[in-house]
Amino acid sequence: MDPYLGPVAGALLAAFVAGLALGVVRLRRLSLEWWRRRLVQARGDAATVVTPDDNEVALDPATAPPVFGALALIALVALLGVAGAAGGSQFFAAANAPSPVLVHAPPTWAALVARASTLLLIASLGFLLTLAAALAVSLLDRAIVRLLARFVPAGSRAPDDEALDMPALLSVARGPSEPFGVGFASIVLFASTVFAFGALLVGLGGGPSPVPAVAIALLAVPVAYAAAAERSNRPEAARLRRDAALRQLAVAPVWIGALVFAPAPWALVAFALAGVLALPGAPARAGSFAPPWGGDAAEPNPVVRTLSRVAHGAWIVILAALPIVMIPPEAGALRGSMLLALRIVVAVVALLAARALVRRFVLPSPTASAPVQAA
Amino acid sequence: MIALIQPSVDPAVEYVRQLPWAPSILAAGAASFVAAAFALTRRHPGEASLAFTLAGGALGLVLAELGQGRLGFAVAWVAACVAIGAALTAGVARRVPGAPRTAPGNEQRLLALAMVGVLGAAVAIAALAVDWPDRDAASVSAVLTAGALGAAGLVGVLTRRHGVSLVLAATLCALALAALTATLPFPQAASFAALLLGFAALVGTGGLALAAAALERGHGPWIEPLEEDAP
Repeated sequence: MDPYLGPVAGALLAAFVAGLALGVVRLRRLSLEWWRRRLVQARGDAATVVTPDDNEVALDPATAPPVFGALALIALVALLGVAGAAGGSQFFAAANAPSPVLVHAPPTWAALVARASTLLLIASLGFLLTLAAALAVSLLDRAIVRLLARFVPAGSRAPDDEALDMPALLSVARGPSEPFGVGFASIVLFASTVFAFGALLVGLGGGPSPVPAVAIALLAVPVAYAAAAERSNRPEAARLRRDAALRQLAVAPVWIGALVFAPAPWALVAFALAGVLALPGAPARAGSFAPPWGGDAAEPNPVVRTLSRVAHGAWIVILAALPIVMIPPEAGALRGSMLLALRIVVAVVALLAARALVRRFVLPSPTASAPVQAA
Repeated sequence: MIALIQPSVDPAVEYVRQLPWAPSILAAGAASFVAAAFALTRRHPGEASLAFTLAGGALGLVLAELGQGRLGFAVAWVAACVAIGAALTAGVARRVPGAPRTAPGNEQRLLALAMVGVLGAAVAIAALAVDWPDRDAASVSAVLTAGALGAAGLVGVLTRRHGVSLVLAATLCALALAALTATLPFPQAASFAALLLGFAALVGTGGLALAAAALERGHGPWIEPLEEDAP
């Protein structure tokens, strides 16, 4: 468990920051007075407190998911994961390797403080690097799209994305009010991304294979979208989130199967390609299962939209880097590290360029794919 | 005289104190228990599924600390899979006109707690007969974690009224059983635990399919809200 503590601390930090940005975590709720008021309110309202969104009626039959097919797919994904873990795939076998916390010396105050500060450092590094990776991917993506527009004639012109708007995380504009569960889902999405990024960093730093941690975090993406769809009180948003969850679930058997057979070259390529379809991001229009180009484009809440775009960008780096990490490193510490970093950068650029090409030639016209404001 | 009035420590308490506890496993286990309790008491299945995923992840960390990282991954994986299914199944309520999309509250909580308490006491008395101090700290703490999660799952099975929550509670029991199996000092324990996880995945998805079928046909307590819930 020891190597996973840093990524877990990073995920907790990310959850706290995302909770503050979304307004789910309010510092005033940390006061005793707030809890006393809640207690009195709960007593006054008898056993059951019915909040306004509890009484929602079924809003739109079209938002209900095709549940039986999805459940069959879920059974397949679950059994593939258990079989991969039990069957002795080398990257899942590495999950047994992490040193436990128990082997460390008996906790003294000095040791605890040193350990806590180390964890805080890893957590902060993972969190900040996730944001930086998302920003870098956003800038690279725009640069590649513009370069292609200059040199490659388009089959159908795709609309340009707006740049990743980090200050929107501090925005006070909330958009339409949604239930707690939608915010909770955004928090889980963002925290799982930071966890996966932290596990990747620990793996690059000589820790255990990041494959199991990344796989779990990637499966948390459809969990978040399915939960947000279920809790959403806006039919349009529920439909978009449901479509995203189904798309991410549909490719899960491919990428988990590829991880089981890695490091075979075809498996690494299959993982990256399937992973692109599993990226966070809801489609711009309902009924579309096209790969997402950058977070929840139609989301009116700026904080939720930015969190999803950060998660989207960071996951592109993780998807490009994971196959590289799985290839055995070159001999020589410095040369090996430099080669590894170079390969990761090349892989990210190649993935973004491939995406941009697909987007340029396959996408329908901009009028059909223009973002639909779900407000 | 002074020696006569000094309170003596109960032998059972002293025995428990002397057990080789592992704080790291107890902390991760407590996180898993809190997340599971949150999941099983939520009235909104979407939020319950998110918390259930967190509970599975924390239980995976417990198993990783036990040196069973692969099994820990599989536990977290099955929990996430069942959570996706629970959220999607709950979304079917949107197809039923007038359905409140809110799970009915817990029922018979006191009775369930009493039953689980009696069962827990019986298991604890039997467990104290085992020579636990000879076992390693990780195993003892993992057994306690698995027992607590199993008890929470059992309370959920006894109190929840709608299909999705019942499936989550039953899956939690199966995950706890798998974790308990992983602590057994036999080489085949990991294989048994993996089989149990496969069983949990199938039971979870099968149960959700039944819940979805009932929901689509308009049966079950979910779409007939309790009187106290009615607006």
